[in-house]
Amino acid sequence: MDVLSGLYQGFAISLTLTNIMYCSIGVTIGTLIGVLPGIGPVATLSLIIPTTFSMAPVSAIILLAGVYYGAAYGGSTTAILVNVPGEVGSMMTCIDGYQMARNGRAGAALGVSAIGSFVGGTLGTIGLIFLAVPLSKIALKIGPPEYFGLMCMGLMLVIFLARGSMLKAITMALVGILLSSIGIHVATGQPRFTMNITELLDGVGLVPVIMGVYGISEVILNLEEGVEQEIFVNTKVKELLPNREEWGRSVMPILRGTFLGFILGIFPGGGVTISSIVSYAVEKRLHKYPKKFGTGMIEGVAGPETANNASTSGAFVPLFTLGIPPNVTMAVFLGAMMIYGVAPGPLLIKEHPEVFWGVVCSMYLGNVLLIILNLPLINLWVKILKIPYRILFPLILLFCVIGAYSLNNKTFDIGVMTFFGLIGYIMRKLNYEVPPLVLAYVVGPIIEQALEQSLSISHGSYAIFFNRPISAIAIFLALTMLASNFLPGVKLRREKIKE
Amino acid sequence: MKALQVISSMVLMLFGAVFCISSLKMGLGDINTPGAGLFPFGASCLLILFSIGCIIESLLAKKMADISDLFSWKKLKPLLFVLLPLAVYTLVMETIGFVPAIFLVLLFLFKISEKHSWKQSVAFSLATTLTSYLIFAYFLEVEFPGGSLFG
Repeated sequence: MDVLSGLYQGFAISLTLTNIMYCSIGVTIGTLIGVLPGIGPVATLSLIIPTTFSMAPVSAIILLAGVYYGAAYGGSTTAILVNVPGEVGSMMTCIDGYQMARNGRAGAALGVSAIGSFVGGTLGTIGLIFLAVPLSKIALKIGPPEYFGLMCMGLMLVIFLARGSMLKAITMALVGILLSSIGIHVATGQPRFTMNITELLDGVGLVPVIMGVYGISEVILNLEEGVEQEIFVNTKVKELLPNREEWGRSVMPILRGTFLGFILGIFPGGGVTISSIVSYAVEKRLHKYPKKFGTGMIEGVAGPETANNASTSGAFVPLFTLGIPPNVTMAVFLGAMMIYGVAPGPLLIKEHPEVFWGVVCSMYLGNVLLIILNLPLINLWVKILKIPYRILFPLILLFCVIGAYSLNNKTFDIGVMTFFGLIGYIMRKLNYEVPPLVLAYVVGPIIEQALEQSLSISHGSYAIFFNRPISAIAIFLALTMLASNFLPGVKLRREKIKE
Repeated sequence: MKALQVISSMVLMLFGAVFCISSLKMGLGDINTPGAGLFPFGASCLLILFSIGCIIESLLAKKMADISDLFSWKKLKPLLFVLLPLAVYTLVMETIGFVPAIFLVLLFLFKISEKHSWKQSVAFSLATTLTSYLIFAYFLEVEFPGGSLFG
């Protein structure tokens, strides 16, 4: 199937009334959670997954994808108006976006971030098509040893880019792997670590674990720290388009942000946060007056906001073509797609073209809907932003409870969610990173399967991982990243970059 | 902070040890057919190893954040206010049913989050419970327990 006929099929699927509706719901929920600080896309996606079981897989993934890239749009509103990132990816927008609002240019900042997001999201989707199709053909030649190597490398990259201690991040990934091994072992049918609890035969549910470590623990921490902030712009936001001079200054940052965001989104450990940080740093470095950054420079809004949206498209490339999630949100996607019976990987485009093309084409529609939601309807989001957290948090908890329960209609899952809420809280308090745990939990069974299949091929010889170039290089890179933690120079530089 | 970091690493080490022993009991398999315990055995051994690494790292660290108020009563209050109702909810939902259980949890949460009078809290909780029941039970067809108390 060539690209044109794929696009034709994709638009035919995504433009049905049902899928337009799901896409609209997805982007609206995405914008909502993007606007509201205190609930992120990972927890929201896991909340929505149980409600999508009765849908066709393509509609469900269109909805989930809408939430993901919609959140990257909505985050900027809070960053610009409240100086709090609605999403972590909008962190850099706070710096100059809020200053622009203070200088009376809130409308221009919101406008340029919505248009930048649109350009980044749309061009990123084109990039996704042109990269995913050939890459999936190459990926077909990849066997279990290569998968094992690539998964290990991807996981190690996420660990390497973790904020705190790398050793701690590794322990979290290993805990995630061990948790994923609870339940019946697929190859032998033997129950593992179930402690004679019937509910554990199917394993610890992905949704309750994520809702616990992300949703519940975030609510507790927000209550502790108090997320209520004063909105800078209390009146209606007017003049939503930047003026001619501001346009001129924004074009190149938007184009650079698209390129940077898309490329960084593809690599494990990248994602919305890193792409917006890198874009901000690049814009600052390239600018004639870098010292003016932080005083309300439109380039500091246009670049990062474009980059974080472009990265959401880029992140789908490794997931759809290799079945490798480059970040924790994509890991949730991987888990959801497995539940729907549409395993992402090299065969996705061949075996489920309707899913790949339908979802990709829905992104164009989603980006158009988001521009409408974020520009003419901006004042509606400003009103929502004023809802106090003391009203919101019981609702978030309610959705978590219903989401966890509706997965299997078992109260056991609510118990699991509550338990992991406590674990997530302790982890955050003691500076243990959550993403490596969740990512490892999702990819753990895939790594195990790849390991077992590789050993079966090689009759038990581990040399298979070093005889094949792709797996050898991937494992070498993973080990290099690990070893770097013990080299004081590299460790120091890693910490400096993170600061 | 140092002591807490060391203790947490020790807990992880213990967690790894439990998995390691259980994996060995399950069997590691033979050269051609990997057993159910092989993969978790490898992961748990690595966990023990890296937990020891974390302990050494914590002991060697020169400066660590102050934890005097990390787990203070003021900070523990939100933790208890969120986790306790959820735990109670898990225990009573099967008995008293979804609607009364969630109503009571919401009432508790709205009431403890300050600034709400009893009247407001009851109104918020009732409206939220009924709306969520309508959305999830009718539109999304989630089956909630009616409660064994009510037959």
